[in-house]
Amino acid sequence: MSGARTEAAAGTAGALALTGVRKSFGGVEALRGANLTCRRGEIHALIGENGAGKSTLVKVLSGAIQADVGDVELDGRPLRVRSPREAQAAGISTVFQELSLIPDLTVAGNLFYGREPRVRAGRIDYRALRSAAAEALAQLGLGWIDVAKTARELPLSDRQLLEIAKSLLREPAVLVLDEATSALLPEQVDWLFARVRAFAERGGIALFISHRLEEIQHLSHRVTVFRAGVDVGSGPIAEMPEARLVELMLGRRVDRVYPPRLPAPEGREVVCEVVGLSAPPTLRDVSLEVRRGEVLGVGGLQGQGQLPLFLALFGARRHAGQVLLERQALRLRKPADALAAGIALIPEDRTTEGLCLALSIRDNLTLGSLGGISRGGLIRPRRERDLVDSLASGLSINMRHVSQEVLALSGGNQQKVLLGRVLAQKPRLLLMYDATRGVDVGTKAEIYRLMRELCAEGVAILFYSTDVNELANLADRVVVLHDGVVGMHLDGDEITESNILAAAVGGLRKAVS
Amino acid sequence: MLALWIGLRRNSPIALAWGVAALLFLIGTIQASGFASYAHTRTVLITASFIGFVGVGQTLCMLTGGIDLSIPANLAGAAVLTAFLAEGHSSRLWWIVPLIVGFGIVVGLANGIGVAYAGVPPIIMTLGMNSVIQGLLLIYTHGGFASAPPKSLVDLVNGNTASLSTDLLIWIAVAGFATVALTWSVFGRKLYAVGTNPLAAFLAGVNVKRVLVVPYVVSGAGAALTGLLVLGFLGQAFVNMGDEYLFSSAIAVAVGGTSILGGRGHYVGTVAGAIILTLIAANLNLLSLGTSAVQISYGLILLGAVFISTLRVNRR
Amino acid sequence: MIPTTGVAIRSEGRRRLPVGLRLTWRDVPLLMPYLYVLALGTAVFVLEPRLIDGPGAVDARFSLIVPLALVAFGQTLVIVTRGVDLSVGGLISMASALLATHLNESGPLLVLEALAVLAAGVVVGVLNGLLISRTRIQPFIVTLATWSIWGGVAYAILPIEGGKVSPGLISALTGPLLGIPKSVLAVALLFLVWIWLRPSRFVADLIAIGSDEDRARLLGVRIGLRKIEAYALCALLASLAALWVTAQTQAGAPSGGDQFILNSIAAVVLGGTSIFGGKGSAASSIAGAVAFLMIPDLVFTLNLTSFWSVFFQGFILIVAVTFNSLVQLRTRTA
Repeated sequence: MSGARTEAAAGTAGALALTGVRKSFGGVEALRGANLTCRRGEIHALIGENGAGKSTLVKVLSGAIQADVGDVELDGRPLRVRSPREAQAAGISTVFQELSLIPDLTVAGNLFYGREPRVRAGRIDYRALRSAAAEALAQLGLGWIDVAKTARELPLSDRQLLEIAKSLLREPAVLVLDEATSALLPEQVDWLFARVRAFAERGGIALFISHRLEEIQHLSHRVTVFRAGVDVGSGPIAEMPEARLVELMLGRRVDRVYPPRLPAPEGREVVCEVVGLSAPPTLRDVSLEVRRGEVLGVGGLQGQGQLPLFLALFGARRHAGQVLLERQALRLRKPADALAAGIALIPEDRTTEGLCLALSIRDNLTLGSLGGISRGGLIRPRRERDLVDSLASGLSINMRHVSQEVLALSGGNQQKVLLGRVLAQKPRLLLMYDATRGVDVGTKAEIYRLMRELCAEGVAILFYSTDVNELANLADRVVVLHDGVVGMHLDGDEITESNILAAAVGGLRKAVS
Repeated sequence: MLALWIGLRRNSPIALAWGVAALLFLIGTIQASGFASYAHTRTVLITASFIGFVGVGQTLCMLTGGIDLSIPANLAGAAVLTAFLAEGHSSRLWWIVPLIVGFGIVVGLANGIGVAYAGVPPIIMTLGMNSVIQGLLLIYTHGGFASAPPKSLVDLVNGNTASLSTDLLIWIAVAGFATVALTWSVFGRKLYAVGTNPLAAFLAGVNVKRVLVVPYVVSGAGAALTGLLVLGFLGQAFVNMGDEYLFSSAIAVAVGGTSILGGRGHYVGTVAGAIILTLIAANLNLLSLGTSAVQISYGLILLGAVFISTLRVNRR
Repeated sequence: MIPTTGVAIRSEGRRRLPVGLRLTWRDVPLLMPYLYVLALGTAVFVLEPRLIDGPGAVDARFSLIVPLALVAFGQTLVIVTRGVDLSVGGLISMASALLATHLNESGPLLVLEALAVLAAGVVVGVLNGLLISRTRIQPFIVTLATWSIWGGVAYAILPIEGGKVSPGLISALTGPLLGIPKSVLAVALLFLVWIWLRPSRFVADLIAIGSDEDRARLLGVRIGLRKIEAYALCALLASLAALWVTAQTQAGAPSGGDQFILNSIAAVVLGGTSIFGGKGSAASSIAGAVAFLMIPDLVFTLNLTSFWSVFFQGFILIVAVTFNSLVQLRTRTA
């Protein structure tokens, strides 16, 4: 049963085993025969870049989706979970990356949802619930969280702690932690590690997914690297140094081609100056300059203030501080203000924030530039056709016809449509927020080339990417955000993957690579 | 060629709607010989035109994921008030009509601002507004009944211009205008974008809130104008005369292929929808089935049409 | 129940009072309707004391409240899940028409007939729930369509106002019981039902669904089932309301149910339930119904024609829901 506790000895038969798991989403293979073995008492880390299949694997384990093919076994018995409830019943508890808290329920309500103390006729005893919740949190060392507050009222780090507590309290056989430290303060991370170690010592299996190498090295016993939907290497953490892990994560893509940087003339003029920008709670005080024709890379772990920075610069987020474009102070209250000033944004999620999927390629491409192709409120067909054709050919968008729905295109081509729309707005400062995520290698290369062309034309680019390799190879300068401020500024030869990562994780040391 | 094929596939619901309309017409002709006569067809089309006129605003509202439930009171209010103020004098129309349409616009503006800026769900906003207008109408006219409409209105609706029904000519003009606006105007593009993905539209620089107000303003003005026409058609006005247009306007839009999930649809489909609904009523009439059968079938059709449109989205 | 080997979750057994539901500042909107009732009631009573004199007047007043309270109760459950039920209009009309045309004196046949009407309500509600949970069609479209359908059926059964209502029904639902008007007892009973229902798994799930449906699904809530239950219960209560209304007016009306749509939504909004779901109380909605039905009284005491009621009811709904919505906008964009 799921509650069985046995002393874990290295070398005993694998307790959680996934074999040959495949999962496709509409033609895209997210998992291509993945295997994973974790023993009882083991803290097993899962690492890999975005799109490698980690989150899909988590969803399969947690019952949120079903694999197309493949077996899952726990303690030698096959496991068939068809829903989150079945996963829970089987002893698998997941700490979700996007958190599974109900906003309007109290801490107590969220903590024990579905297992509340009852009185007769199955009605919930809220008083007992509150005291049980307070007691449970105290036992875990989280007694300072007010159990009567709703989840909505908690700060993000507390919410993540609550999500973790929820899973820990279930005393599962398998604890899946999906980016569970992303919003935690350092001392809270230590707390989590202590809990996970205690959990493993009691015989549980912990699956720890993280993109923070340092955490993985600190916490886990074994690590498995994922790449392109399949596991590419696995072993004890001691036998998998950083270099080996990085090599496995990158794989044959080490030979990814980047177009050469432009020579950097001294004294490029500053196009955009940001002074003391803040947008609580995550963006505290950021100042930077972007120069004409350069790519300023923004590095740092997720949640250090990058998103608020980009949104604030685009007028899509309330902020304090000054933004100057070509020495003009800007009042950025809404995106239209930013666009009028010459700042354009490629948003993070193209399907929910960037494109109108049900509309045609043509409609999407022209959405931001309607003024330029119309007169008297009516679209001028010839102008529209010219614009669309030039964008489509300039970006080599692979489509059957401009009246096709964007929904029908591949991810890479969809991204190109988004790019086209944004570029048609002729920005002087281009904000690229993780613009190459979920895009195939070929399209990425085209995007890199495009960025160089834009730089040659004098456009300044602020470039955020979760792919450290990209940052290192594309940026002329890099600022690494940490805790809502600029932690490190890298220039010229200092721009290396390890420096960026080091700055992102540790914050203030400049390592020599 | 390819463009045509893609266009046809994307707009297949509209084509389907016109097909159904033609089919219903055929069924009617089979059932009764006089069905396809000039007089009868003209009557059917004129009756459909009223649904069509309120359908303009309703199409825009449903394209943005909303709905206007204040059309009944707006329509009735316009009709009753006009008859009330005109007292049969066509000479007064020159100031009455703009006034009435102005009221319609004000109502629409109130609806639109509530929905767009205060975030009130359209159903509740327009439902409440319906009651407000109805109340005001009853208060002002002490009962909301009037007859003896100005003669020129009656002539307008029932008469001909260049041997074609004036009312239908107006409808064609309105349809043409709506088509141009939806397909080729800057506003139309923004409207579709907002209806499909308001966040993306916002990040592309569209003033989403301002765009969201317009459908309700159009609907308010349209309902008022329709009230004038219906007054001329029926020869009288009473406070409940708009009630039937609540369902029929929404259903005509849905049947015409507009997806309430946003972004897909066009007024051309609503025209077909209006004709379909009128033909259904006409056919049922031939079978001696009255209001109840019509209402039941309208509800079933709404469910069917919307269900089909959700399937379309799922398929992709 | 999964036995937890970890932290012991003990319940302290039988409780006499509502099981430990605490009130916080968040619940203030849900207390407002009682204030409205107090304020309006005081104003009306001071201006026109004749309106509330003697048990006869109280009975008449509460007889109006009962049907709206019933519908508002059900509507609350539905709105908490981010839905709405417009079909109560057609359902009440249809049920009322059925009762006015099938005459049964009294006794077991009458009871059977009443049960049949209630069963029809449940069927209607289950259909609504199935359509809403199995397809992606929004609740307001589904219930707009079923409103049309059942309204049409009502017309088929009873084309014009009138009909004959069984005297047995009338005597069963009107008048006093042990000295207290049945209508007053009914309202009190509804309050008790809510107090009993509020701490249930059912309501907890509905709130979770309305607050964040996707996450509720992750937590294992049976979303489809709960929605069907909510709409079924709403329709059942609407059928009960129809029984009451028909007994009151002693006649059927083919579109008599339509007024309940706006009125029930208004009662829910005045009651403080959020139209965006995730928070609500049927008891507050009942209080909201009471407050809402005082508007005609206020109009009367101000010597205005009754037409002003129509205006004010719509106006107050708009004001209340705008306020509700603006407050939500400020707190939700956190």
